[in-house]
Amino acid sequence: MAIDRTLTDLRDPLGRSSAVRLDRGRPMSATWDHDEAGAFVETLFAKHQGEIYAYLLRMMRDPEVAADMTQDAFIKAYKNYETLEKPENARAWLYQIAHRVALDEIRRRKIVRFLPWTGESRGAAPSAEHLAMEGRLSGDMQRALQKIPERQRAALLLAELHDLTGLELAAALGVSHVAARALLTRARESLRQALAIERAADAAAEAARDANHAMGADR
Amino acid sequence: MSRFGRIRRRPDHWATPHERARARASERLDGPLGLTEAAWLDEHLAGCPDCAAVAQAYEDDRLALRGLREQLPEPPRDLWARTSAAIERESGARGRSRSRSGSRVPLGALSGLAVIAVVVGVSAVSSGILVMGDQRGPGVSGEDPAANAAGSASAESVAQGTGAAATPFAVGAGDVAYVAGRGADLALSNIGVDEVCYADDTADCGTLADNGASRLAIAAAPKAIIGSPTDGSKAVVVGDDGAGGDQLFVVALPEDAPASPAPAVTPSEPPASASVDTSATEAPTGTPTATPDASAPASGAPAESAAPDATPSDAASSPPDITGEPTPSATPPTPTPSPTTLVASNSPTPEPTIAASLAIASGLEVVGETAAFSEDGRWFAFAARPVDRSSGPDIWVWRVGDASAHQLTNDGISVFASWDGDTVVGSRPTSDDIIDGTYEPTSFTVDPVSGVTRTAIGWDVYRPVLDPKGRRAVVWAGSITASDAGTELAPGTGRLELRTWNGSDRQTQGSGQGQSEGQPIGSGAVADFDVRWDESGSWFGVWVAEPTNPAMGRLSLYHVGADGSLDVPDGSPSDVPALPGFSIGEGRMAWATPPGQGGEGSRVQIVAWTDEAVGSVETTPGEDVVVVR
Repeated sequence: MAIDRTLTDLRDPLGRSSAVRLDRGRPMSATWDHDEAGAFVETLFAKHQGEIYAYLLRMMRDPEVAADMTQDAFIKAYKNYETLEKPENARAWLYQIAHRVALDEIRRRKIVRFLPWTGESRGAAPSAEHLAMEGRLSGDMQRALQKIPERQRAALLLAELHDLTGLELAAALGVSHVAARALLTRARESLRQALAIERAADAAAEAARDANHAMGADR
Repeated sequence: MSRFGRIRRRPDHWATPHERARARASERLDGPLGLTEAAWLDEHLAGCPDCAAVAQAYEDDRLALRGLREQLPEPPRDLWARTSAAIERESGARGRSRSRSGSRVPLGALSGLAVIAVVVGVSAVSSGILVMGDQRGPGVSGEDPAANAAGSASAESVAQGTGAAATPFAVGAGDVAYVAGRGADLALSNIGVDEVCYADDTADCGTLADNGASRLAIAAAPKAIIGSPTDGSKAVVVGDDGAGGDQLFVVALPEDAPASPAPAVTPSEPPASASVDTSATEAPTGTPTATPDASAPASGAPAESAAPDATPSDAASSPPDITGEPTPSATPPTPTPSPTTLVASNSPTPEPTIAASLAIASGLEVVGETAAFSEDGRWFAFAARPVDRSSGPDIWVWRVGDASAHQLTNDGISVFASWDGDTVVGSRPTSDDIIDGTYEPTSFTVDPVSGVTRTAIGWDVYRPVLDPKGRRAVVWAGSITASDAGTELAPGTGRLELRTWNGSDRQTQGSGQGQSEGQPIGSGAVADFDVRWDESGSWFGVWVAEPTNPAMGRLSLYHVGADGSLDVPDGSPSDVPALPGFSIGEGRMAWATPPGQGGEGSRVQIVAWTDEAVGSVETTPGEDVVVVR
């Protein structure tokens, strides 16, 4: 059931009729060309791995997880090669796959509350330097982003950092154009409020530190 | 509200003008507004400082985000190697799936049949679909283990749409194979398990469908099938020998089962003699296959002194408290091939037939669930006692390629525990004269070639089950009880523990070492247990028999962290009802539920894990389901 949904969505990233797929002479299960798919995915990888990895890293904040998921996304691209209708849609299609991988992972993490595995934790919070080095969002913006719902976060990241617009954004998010626009609007508002909270917390912490400092100086 | 108004408000249902203004302020960032809306927004923002501030915040946040556009983090350098390796595996799996697509039979169709499952590892199939031309290089196949460990190898439907699933997650590629059959009509089938569902989501995962079947032409109903860890085509079957005892015989499984239209519905097969596919008849003794230090004398020597030139004379001089004499003969007294119980296939049906190729032992009663291949796949060991119970259990070994198994110990009180490399680890009571009662256990190693036995293990533990890396062992720490005139050994008072293992040789020295480090596993009375590690040595399953009914038990999955700590990740089965015999490996564990649960038959349940998650999937119910390693 969910698989069906996935395939349907992937079949036509830009929301048009999926009947076209059948006209390509490459039925789903049997005859698509492994070499062609492999070569295509390799090209896609060379071209887009950086941004896909960046998107997943920004969504997940864990380099290891992001790398695994990037791998996953390209494997899915390979497996669903026949669902790509037009090569020029490949980027949005790829983002759609990556987006779904990210949402699945996030959902999984919510459901499978995992015990930390001592010594093998892959989700350790990276240091601030590491964050800066990786060119990721940091500080209150990052925290705020992590606090807004993941679909909104995805919409914002895709629109603002990954420059997906209009139909591309809708395709990547797997929703209609109108819904994508509404999602983005909600995301901006959520981010604004989350940022305000983060900044207030920062200010409070700062004030507390100053107060401590002042008390220490008094002594 | 007028009808007109309701219609007008539908697309943009603003509770307040401020809400509308904020939505428009956001939309304005993505593209020009219509002239009317743009004018309205400007007017509103001019008169509403709050909304103007919000609009400004949207723009600021957007700039902050966009400022990071060009700062792309660097993906790991080996990402392509990992990805292409996984894709290559995937293409291999696809090829296999397709080759069987004509024969897919849902497991439900097997309801009412005996079902036996064995996890068969599917090795990566290199089909060369990806040709690396750039600096990322062709070294993809070497990346396989890492890619597997990353747990992101595959993510498609379990059965390509036949078992629709709600957002299952991918686990490493591989098949679970099982034997199903009624009477002499057995079929080997495979089910692809590359996705599983979360523990609370299994209903959405659907049930598994197999993707191929081959006839298994053996007369005896199999009790267990133990697959070779290195040779996917080889398995040892434990079955009824028709004379009150067990028979062990070898079958050759198809490595890539081709399509067959209808498993388990073939016409009857005429009895015929087994075809022996091996000509190896030389005695196992003295062959150069044993590792030198496995056959070294045991006189308290540390590992370094292990003599590579150990000979059978060393055996005679070593503490002979267990073995007496090794049984070097290739024609042991008890086991004899029983060709009449084997059925070769000359069935006219097109599907491939798996015939028993070699009976390695019969006329025995296999004891416990510990039978296992050594890690290198060259040896197979089990514990068995005479059917008439004229004595208790002894350890038997079969070297792959030999004509038959041979008895390794003959004290009648030794059981096989596990393999330490290619050395047998066994256990027995410390006393030689066993009557019914409680005894302290001891464990020892035996070289399967020379029969040299050593009480090399400093722990007074029972049946240590070593992980394949030789780092840790799950042991019974406590007493053992003997019953039925000393022919039946069972755990007494104590508990299962996870301990660090320093190697059987070093253990002789620091016998106290590790004693205090045991981490308890479960609690309560244990009538019998079966512990199996996966190939990584990081996961193990513990099956504990019900005290009242040893044909039933409870199974748990444990994980050992890099620091040796024990945990039970969420989603892992913990004390779930299970029949004896389970398989573990390649990131999955498979077992059979007892029949009658929920008024249904048994199911094969499979739990699979990646580095970060544990999920499960199961088959539809069948009757008398038995899952085997």
